[in-house]
Amino acid sequence: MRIRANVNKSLWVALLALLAFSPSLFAVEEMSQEGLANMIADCKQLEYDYATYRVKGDAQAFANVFTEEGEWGRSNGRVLVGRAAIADYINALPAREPDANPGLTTTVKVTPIDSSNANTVSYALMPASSGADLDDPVYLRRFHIASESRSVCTLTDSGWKIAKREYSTLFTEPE
Amino acid sequence: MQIMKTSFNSISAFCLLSVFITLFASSANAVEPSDKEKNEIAIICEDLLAGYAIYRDRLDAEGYSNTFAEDGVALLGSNTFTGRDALRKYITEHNNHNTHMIMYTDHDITVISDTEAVGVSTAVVLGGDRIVGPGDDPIYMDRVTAANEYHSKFKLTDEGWKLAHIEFDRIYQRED
Repeated sequence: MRIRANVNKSLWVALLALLAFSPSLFAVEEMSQEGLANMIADCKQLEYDYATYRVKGDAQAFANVFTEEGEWGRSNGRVLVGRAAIADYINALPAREPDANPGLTTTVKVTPIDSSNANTVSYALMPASSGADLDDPVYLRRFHIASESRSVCTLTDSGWKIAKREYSTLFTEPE
Repeated sequence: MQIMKTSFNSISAFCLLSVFITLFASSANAVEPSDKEKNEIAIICEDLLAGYAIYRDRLDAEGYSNTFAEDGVALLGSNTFTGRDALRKYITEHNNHNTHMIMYTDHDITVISDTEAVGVSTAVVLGGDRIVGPGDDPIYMDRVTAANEYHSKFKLTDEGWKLAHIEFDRIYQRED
């Protein structure tokens, strides 16, 4: 009986020692080089898709960059929730083709939260142009807006999507 | 005496052989990565540079210093910061806490081996005269402040890929 108690005590001591000296048991799972690179590439691609479809005014493709219930925070504080609301918003914008003010996505930082979630910070620079014509180049005068966007990206059944996004305009051209 | 000498020679030969095997093994370990691995390393290195920029812009000392290897080096202007403590201090003692954006336009990462890479990057920089917080008006500015060319070295550490060295040349400066 006493032997059994000692064995139990030893097992508990061993278990506590294992927990104390194995912080990795509680750490977020280690990502392989391939897993990390794929996550970064996929989340960066979302940023590029966001900019491309926004400029093209492709409402459905733009909405599909988000999760089904994705949230898109606008600069006026309004938050659009869900793909349908996001697509409706884009469709309601006045058509302007060709778009002479493409947002240039520049620095993009992807920070993994776990294997299926990541935070993304991205910068965009939007030039101010002198007009648009399909045949002539656009004459750049200056930049119009420099903004910072903050997104939460999540891995869904149909790949990586933006679950939540908000942005701040940090610089703008003088009025 | 002869036996001792023979034994000594045998031990020397064994030690020498061990050294050669170790050297050979370590050089053999630095294998040429496959194209797929090179692409993965380049993606991770670009992300390190993005971290260097965004943590610098936000004056996030922990994030900034952890972008570097323990003995990482940053040559910033005429100052050299070596090691994470010095890099952390550079950020915490930064006296120009204004809105700042390092906006990369291009990266060229060359993977040298499975533990080393180098990069050349260009960026435009916007520097404001105040912080833009939630609800604040943006800063009115119509031209970029500067354009820089960054030269960086990366290495694989126990904590993954890290910046080993970074320095930049200013290639454009706004005339005020």
